[in-house]
Amino acid sequence: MRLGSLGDVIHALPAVASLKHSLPRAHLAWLIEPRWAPLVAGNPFVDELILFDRSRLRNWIELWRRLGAARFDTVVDFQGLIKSALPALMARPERIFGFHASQVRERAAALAYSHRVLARSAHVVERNLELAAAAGASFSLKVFPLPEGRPEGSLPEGDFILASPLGGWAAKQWPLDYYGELARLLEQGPRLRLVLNAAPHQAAALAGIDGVHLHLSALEGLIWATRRAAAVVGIDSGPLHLAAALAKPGVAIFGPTDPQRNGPYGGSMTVLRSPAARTSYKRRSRLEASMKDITPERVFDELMARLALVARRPGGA
Amino acid sequence: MDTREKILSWHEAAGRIERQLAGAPPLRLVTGHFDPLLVAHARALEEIAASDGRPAVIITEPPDPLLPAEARAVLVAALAAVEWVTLAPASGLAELLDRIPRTRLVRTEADHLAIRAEFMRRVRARHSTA
Repeated sequence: MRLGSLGDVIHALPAVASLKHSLPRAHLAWLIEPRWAPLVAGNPFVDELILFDRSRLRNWIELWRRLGAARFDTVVDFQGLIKSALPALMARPERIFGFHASQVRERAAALAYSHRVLARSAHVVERNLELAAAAGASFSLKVFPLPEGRPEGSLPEGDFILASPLGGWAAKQWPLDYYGELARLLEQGPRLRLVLNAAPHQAAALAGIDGVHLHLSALEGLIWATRRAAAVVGIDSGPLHLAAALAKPGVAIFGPTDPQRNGPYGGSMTVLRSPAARTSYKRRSRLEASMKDITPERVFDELMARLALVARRPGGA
Repeated sequence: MDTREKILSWHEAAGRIERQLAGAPPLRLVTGHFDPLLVAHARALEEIAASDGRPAVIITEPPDPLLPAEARAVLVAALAAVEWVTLAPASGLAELLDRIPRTRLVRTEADHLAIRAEFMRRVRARHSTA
């Protein structure tokens, strides 16, 4: 069970691969919302995708029938919400693994679990691996099998830097006018274009930023663009975690959320966070003041340092 | 780098092998099932890499595979000791391998079946005592 969203599904990929690798004869099904299914489509460690749009009552009834008929032995709930714990119960498995009540966002979800795991790790990828280990994964594989994506929207001809300014809730975002300044620095210095990705319905929010290249796409177009980017500038949101899973170099700008727990995984990125930032997971709708402390000049410098590191490596990126 | 970029299509892999046969710097080629990838496989590849440079790997199909070949390719490609990975084609592999000097080719399928049998024995023992 990991219904969404982008970053969270990506963070569950190593745990799911570890489960399948350790129990190769087991049939592994993943319950996921249809909008995130492209992330797992074609995943060689997943035998079956069960798409679940929970917005309609009749989908719940259909899911109850389907899960009941499938007779699963074990359910692992990586999500820790009531909306994932309920389907876990509906499957009527012998065992349901989930995180301890102190580590789930909705404590009532933990009541559904027969086995509650108190994870010791800080990062959510490692926590998911701990949960998979409790459920029978004897190997911890740190792999992120992701699809190729597909071309969508326009991208510049040459190298470019990719950012997705509108991902995540407002408190985690970087001031939009800073992207214009960063674009100017990139254009004047290494002559790199700054590409801003957003969903087509968000285009108006980015329309007033000077000097950037707008890339409007759905999920598969974002994957395609991320694969082609020279580097990324990200905030704590799905597109950043997608880039980290693809081992892209870049800079991650953090404010209210804790990079120890939710930071880009894998070490390809530099994390910037103001000393004034206070950790909070409240989904505030206003920009966090500490995000303004991270200036475009600082992001530019760190980005150049990252790109220089990549260039020094044998074979480049 | 994104290690999945090390997974080549058979067409591209065969082209690279042909170029090496035609005189490009030699590459050590390893064929094997890696079903599933275990520490013993990784160590063997690291030893080859240490002595002779990073090998290219062709993932072959065992009888009754545990994991899909694509999953095995993802895991082998994630090893730093490996140059690139490809999946064995449905036909034509034997003919190509016949042309590769024996010193450049390591065939591990028989070893891998033995490793898999031992792995399955351990898994069954674990389950019977659980």
